[in-house]
This record gives sequence, C-alpha cells and structure tokens, in this order.
Amino acid sequence: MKIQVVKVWRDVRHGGGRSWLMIFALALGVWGLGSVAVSARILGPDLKQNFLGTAPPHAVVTLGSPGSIDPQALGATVEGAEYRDLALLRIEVRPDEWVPLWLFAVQDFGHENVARVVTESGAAVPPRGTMLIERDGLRISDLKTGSLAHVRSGSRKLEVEVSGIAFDPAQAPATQDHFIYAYTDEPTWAALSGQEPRTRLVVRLRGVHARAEVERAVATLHLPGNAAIAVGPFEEHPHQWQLDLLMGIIGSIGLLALLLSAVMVSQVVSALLARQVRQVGIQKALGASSLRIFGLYALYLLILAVAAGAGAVPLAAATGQRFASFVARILNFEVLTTSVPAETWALLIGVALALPFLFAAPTLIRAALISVRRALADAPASPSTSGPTRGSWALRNVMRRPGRAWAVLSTTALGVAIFSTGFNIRESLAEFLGSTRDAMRFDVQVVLVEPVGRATLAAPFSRLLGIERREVWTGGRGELQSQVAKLDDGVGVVALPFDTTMLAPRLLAGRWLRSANEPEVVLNHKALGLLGQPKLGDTIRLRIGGEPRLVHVVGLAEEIDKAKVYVSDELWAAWADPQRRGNTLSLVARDRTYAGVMALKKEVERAVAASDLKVLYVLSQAERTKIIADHLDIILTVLLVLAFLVLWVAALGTAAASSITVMERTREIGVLRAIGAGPRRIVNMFVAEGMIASGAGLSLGLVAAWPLSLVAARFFGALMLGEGAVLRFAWSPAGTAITVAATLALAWLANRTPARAATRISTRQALAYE
Amino acid sequence: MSELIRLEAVSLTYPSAAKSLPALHNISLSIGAGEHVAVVGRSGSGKSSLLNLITGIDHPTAGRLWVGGSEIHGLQEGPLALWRGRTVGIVFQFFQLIPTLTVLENLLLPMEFVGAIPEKERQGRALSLLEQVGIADHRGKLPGNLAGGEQQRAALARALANDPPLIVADEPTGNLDSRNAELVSSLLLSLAKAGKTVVVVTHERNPAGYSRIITLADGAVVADERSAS
Repeated sequence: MKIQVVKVWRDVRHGGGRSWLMIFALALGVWGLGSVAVSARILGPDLKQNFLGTAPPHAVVTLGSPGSIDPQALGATVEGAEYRDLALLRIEVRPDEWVPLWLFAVQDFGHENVARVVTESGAAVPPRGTMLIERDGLRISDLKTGSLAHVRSGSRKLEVEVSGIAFDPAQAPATQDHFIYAYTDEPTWAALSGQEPRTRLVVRLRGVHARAEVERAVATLHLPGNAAIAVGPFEEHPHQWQLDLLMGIIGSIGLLALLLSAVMVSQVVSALLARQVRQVGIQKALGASSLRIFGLYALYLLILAVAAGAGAVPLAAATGQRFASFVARILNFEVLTTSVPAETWALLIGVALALPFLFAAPTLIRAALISVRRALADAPASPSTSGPTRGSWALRNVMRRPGRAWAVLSTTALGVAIFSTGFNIRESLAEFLGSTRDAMRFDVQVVLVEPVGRATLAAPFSRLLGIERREVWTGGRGELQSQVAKLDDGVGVVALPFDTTMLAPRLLAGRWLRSANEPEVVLNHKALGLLGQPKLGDTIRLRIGGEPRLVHVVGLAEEIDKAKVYVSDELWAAWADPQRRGNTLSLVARDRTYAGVMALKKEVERAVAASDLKVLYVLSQAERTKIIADHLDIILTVLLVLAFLVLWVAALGTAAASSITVMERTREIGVLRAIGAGPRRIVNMFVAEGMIASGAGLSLGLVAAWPLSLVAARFFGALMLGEGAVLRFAWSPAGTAITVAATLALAWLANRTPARAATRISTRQALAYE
Repeated sequence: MSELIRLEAVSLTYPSAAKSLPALHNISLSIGAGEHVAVVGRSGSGKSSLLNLITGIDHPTAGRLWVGGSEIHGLQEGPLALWRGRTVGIVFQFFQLIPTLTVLENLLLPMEFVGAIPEKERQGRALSLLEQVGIADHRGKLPGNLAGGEQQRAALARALANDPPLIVADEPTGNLDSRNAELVSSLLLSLAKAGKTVVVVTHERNPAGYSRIITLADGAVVADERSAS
C-alpha cells in the first residue's frame, strides 16, 4: 500500500496548476454551500429566538375606557397580558431633524410577562420623567444615555432625559423605518403624551399555533363591546420577509455556484485523469484491478478534498458567521449562536469530503473501468476520431469534445443568465421606485396623529412662501395612517379628491377615480388579497362605521404599502366623516430641487412648532424614497454580488475546460510549431476555438435571461411587494453591456491563459508530450 | 517441454464505427514453457494484437485461449488483473514506467498489487533485480532522469518483479540505440535460458538468438520456424 500512497501523493504534488485549480474549485463549492448553511443555521433559529424571547403578543386590544379590564383576570387561555400604551410623538434626532417617536408605557419594568424589553445599559428601570431608547435608534440619531431629548407631543415641546438603552428585537429596525422606539413608566408616558394610560392591552395566549387559533381564542375572552382587537401575523418578526428573501437569494445562488463548481470539478478531474490514463493502463498491466485503480484515485481526490476543506470549511464558517452578524445588525437582533454548532461543522466537513466524489464519480468510474489496451493506446494528445469533418477548423476542433463544449456553453449560459437577471431585477426595482416617486406628486407631507378640521390643518402653513400647491387627505399611506381612516376590518382607507394632483399611482388594471360621488374605489394589490380577490368591475360590500357600503372596483394600484382602499373624499365624508376632517396635508414646493424641498421641510417644521397640531411626522418624498430604497438596497447588493460570483465560477469552469483541451493537444501544438506556427498564432487559435463555445453560451445566456428575469421579477415582486404583486420586467441595457463585456473578458482570459502556458514549452517537449 | 500458451482457432476483430477491423484470423498455436519466441511481421500484421491476447489485454472474438493452464478470457476483470500480475511480465516499447515513482518504487508497485512476494522481501528482491539489469545505482532516480536504455532495463526488471513464468515484450528494442538494444536482447535471452518463457514482438528482419520465430501476415500465421539449437 505504501508505494501506491506515495504515487498518489506525488501525483497530487506534480499535478501543479491543475491540483490547485481542483482545490480551488472544491473550496469554492464548499465555501459557497457552507456559508449558506452556517448563516441559515444561525439566522433562522436566532431571529426566532430573539423574537420569541420577548414573548410577543398574539393580539392587541384597544379599550374604549382606560383600565376597564384586569389583565390578570382574562382567563386560563391567556399566558400573559398587560397594558402597553403607545403614543405616537416626535423626537428631534439631530438639530431640526425630527422623526416619529413610538413611546411605550411599560407597567412594570423587568417583570413584563409579555412584550419583554431588555435594558442594555443605563438605568434598568427608567426613573420617573425619563425614558429608555431602543438601541437601533442610536444609529439614526445623536441621542445617547444622559441626552436631553426634545420631544413634541401635539403642540407641546418637551424635554426628556434618556436614562438608558433598551433592546427590543420584536420591533422593526429603527434604521429601516426611521422611527425611534422608547419606553417609560405609565406616569411619565401620561405626562408626555397627554393621554390617559391603560387603553392598549397586549395579550399572549396559551396553546395557540396559528393566527386562526388566536382569532378564535380572542373571541372567547370577556372583553368590553367597544374593545377593538388586532391580530397580526402569528409569531412572525416584522421583517421576517427580509430575512426570508435574503436567505432565498443566497440559498439559490449558493446552489447555482455549487452546480457550477461541480461542473468545474468534473472538468478538472477529467483533465487530471486524462494525464493519468496511460498510467492506469500500466498499473492494470502490472496487476491492478479496476477497484484498486478506483481506490487509488479516490485517495487522490480525498487528498485534494482535505486540502480544499482545510481552507474552505473554516472560511465558510467565518463567512457564515459574519454574514449572520451583518444580517442581525440590519434587522436589529442578537446573534445567540456564537460558535458554529458541532453538527454544522460535521455537515461542512462531510460536504467537503463528499463533494469531490459526488462531482467526479462518473469520471472516476470511467477512468477505473477503461480497458488496458485503450488506456495504453490513448495518448492525451490523441484527438477524437469521431469528430465532424465539415465546418471551419476551429469549429471542428471545438466539436472534437462535444461534451466539453456543451459544458462550457451551458455553464457560461447559466452564469450570464443569472448575472444579467440580477441587473434586470435591479432595473425593475429602480423603475418601480421611480414610478412610486412619480406616483407621489407632492414634495412634503404633514401627517397628524388624528384628523382635524381641514381649515385647522391648513392654517399654520398658509403663509409659507415655498408652497406651490396643497391638498388635504384623510388617511394616507403607511401603517399608521391605516388606523386613522379604515374599514371595519382594519383595511386602511385613503380619502382624497378624485381629481387629485398629488397622487398618480401606477395602475396594474382599470382606471383611477372619476367622480366625487360615484361609489367606486381603487384597491392596492394587498387590499385585493384581503378583500377576497374581487375582479375589476365587481361590486363589493365594504363595512364602514358598522354600515355596509356597496362599491365598484374600478382600478388596481401597485405600491409598496399596507392594504389600502382609495376613495373620493366626498364619498368618505358622506359615509363616515360628515365634519370633513383631514389628517394629511400634501405640499408641492415652488422649488422642487432637493435643496428647495429640504428648505420647505424646515419651514414646515418651524410652522409645526408654532402650531397646536398633533403632528405624527413631516416627511419629504426624497426621504420616503430613501426609506424604501434602504429596505431593498441590501437585497439588491447581495443579489448582484452573488450573481457575479456565479459568472466568475462559470469563467473558472471555462478555464478548466480550456486547460484540459490545451493539455490534450500539447503534441498537436508541437506539430503546429514544427510546421511553422508561431506562439501567438497558436494562442489565437485556441482563444478563437474557446470563444466559440463561450460566445454561444453568452448568446444563449442573454436569451435565457429574459424568461428568467420575468420569473424572478414575479418572485421578488411577490416577496417584496406582497402576494399577487408583480414586479414589472425591465431590461437593463447597462447591465447587459456589463454582462457582455465581463463575460467576454473573463472568457478571453480563461481561454488565453492555458494556451499561453502551453506555448512556453519547447517544440521538442511538446512533440514528446505524453 | 510443457505447454504454457495455447491458442485454438483464435480470431480477433476490433469493432469500429464504420466497419469491423479484423486483426487476427483463425490462429492456432502452442508455446511451451522456456521457449524464446520472436513474433515478426510487417506493420499491421497482427503482432501486437497477438500479444494483447496472450496478456489478457484483449479477448478473442472467436476461438479459445489458455495461458498457464487458465482460459483467461473467461476471467472477470479483477481476477484477470491479478492473474496478469502473477503470470505475465510485460515490457513495452516506450518503457511505460510510472513517471512520479523512483526506479525502485516502480519495481515495488507490482509487488504491492499482486501481494505474491512477502512484504519484507520486496525491497531486497527489487534491488537484486536492478543489479541483475545493471542499474541498481539509479534506484532512487525518477524515470525521466534515466537514459532510454536504462529505462528499458528498469522496465524489464519491473516485468520480473513478481517472478512471472511468462515475459512478453512488445518491440522492446525499437526505441533504443544498437548498444542498448543488444544489452536488452541479451537480458531477455538470459531470462529464457533461466527457464522463463519469453515472447518478443520485433521488427528485426533477421532476428537472432530465438528458439522459435513466428511470422504473421494479415492476421494469420504464415511461418513458424524453430531453430536447430
């Protein structure tokens, strides 16, 4: 056995570039798959554990009369219940920069039995008159422990000390939603909000496993008749969709990288064994059986696998951990799995050792089963005897190994298709954001906590010189606005002039509102889902203020938002709001440049400060677009980086195939040189041949990118915008140009490098090559 | 003289995409133990095909074949390889040494494959064989560092590694200068004299020193002459 092991070891060492290429290919596959496995192993359970560790409420009950329920007396089905009032105030995060403040009243700090909050630093229990800030808010503000925060509550401007930093992984990250979450005791909350506490009850139930069970269980609780109950998605983090999407992207691209790695490994193993074919014959002539030959080359692969795994497994673990930390940071939760679990290590090592056998098994078996005569007769330089005799010489050379040509063509096509699709999806999203921006034709929006008379809402801003036009709505975009004007089942309503000049949503079907008094509505696609998927032109029944209202569905709008129903403000006033109030003032700036809009926003802030309005937020369109882009940017970046990785791996596969081709034809190179071909001509010949398959792969990939982009747009649209939403296909000319240039450059390098290396040996060596 | 090799009406045809290529046709012959046989003929006459049949590298498409009492084309691939390692020592025209193993290791490899020589005796036997062919000083070198004649002598020593009764050489001197060719030929002769059966395919027009000369043409035996000695 000793000499056989010595031989295998020397084969590995003398394999030179090919051994390293094989190790690299394997390492790449292991690293790609391992990173995904490690990050998935950490992120999924940890996000869940972070979230569930807070004992998140299953239902939120809003009471008509403060303190009308004893949370401890709700019955045996309730695991925990307590008052957790919420006031929507505003806080100055930097000079003259205000964002919404979600201020929670905690009944008993440190003893919450539902919706737990952990104090990270500062006071464990905020002293009276102070508050804790959720830690993610520190990243969008200059606030810190000891800061005196400026808070606006309605028309009042207050100062509150920040006494500590809290961690609440159940909330959506402040950085993405541009909110600050804060926690204080009930007396301080009452003083800051000006409201009476104990109207909002959070309830966690026992023995429930789905939203429907929660709804059934909540219905059995003895709650006052005027209590409003909201049941959210069952035990799901607000940004679970982002994690799912990220994991989906890296998972699928990781698998594709693995597939390409498999092709590359298979190619390299073919190259390695091509050089060994004659030795296989000799060994068989000396008495080695096929099984022994298989064992020897399996050992060979094992050595390469161990070398690849030694580098790739720790790297995969480190990358997976880093990626998990990165995602945890943007989603604001703690990574609890601080070391890679033993079973994950075992999985990684198993994958590292098994992959080469999985990828190379057919080649290995073929090599082991080759007959002695064929092995001894086969010189690596021998061409196929069954190649075509028609077509150009380059094409005929390519088709001498049709399997290899197809492998290069298909891997290149796959890489190109994915890379190009990445750009197209990015373009689709950019167009979507652009159309969202176009749909919102105002520059600054002032949103109140509750509706007021229209004149009251408009008055503070009547003298601002920077305003070109203004419009008042009831309800509005975003989750909070859904609470201001809504159907009885909670779907938000936006009541606005039917001929509004401030909103022109992209319509997926139908038309916009045409009349002030006709009973017609436009739904966004999320509302469509919640209202039973009515068809365009259908008459549906909406319950508003306890009354059923029949309306025609005339349009379907596409937007990133909560479920919304758009209705004429005249109709809404007739049905639900005879006082014709409003809570949203949309303003168009005279100077619509970014600087002009920001200047108007500051003017508006000053006007708000001088008024009695209870403002929820003042937001510019530019900032709004930034918030949406912040949600999507990380996903798009990851998508493109990983798509490029796939293209890169495809190029490595081409290099491996080209390397084998050149090696097999080394003797032919010697002959060509002997009859007068210079090194440059030979290199060009191989590059031209290689570019045939790569070019065909590029063309096929670009064609395949279209249907792939359509499917991907549907997939990402549904994930990011909601069920049924379709992200419109958009072709990215720049992306296609980059794809073509990158593919041709990589293919040129991949084909040229091995050919150049082959021409460096002498003609005599090339002719004697075995 | 006992019979070592026996062919009865053996034919060999190579399949090909276009048409079948007949290599040997209806050959019957017998080679006894200790014979020193030259197989001669023009290129394409079937000499190498005959050797491939005798060594079990190819299987006859018709007829029957025994080597050392075994009907080898009935053996499975694994047992056939083991049989070959024990029974036949093959010497190739282009030496076919494993380039990544030293000369000594090249001799130890077939001993490992077959396992007929006890492990503790292998090193000594390999050195003794290298001394026999006159290249013991080169035992630690890789084949690429040896001259052609030295490589062929190493290949000859390797063929003897498992002490097989049959040595088969396919134009063993075809790639050597006259001095080395003579040296290798004399080594093969000495093996025959020592009782090995040696079958050599050669291009020589007038092969000398063989006990028997079999001439092939177009896949058939056209002459089978035994020397008077």
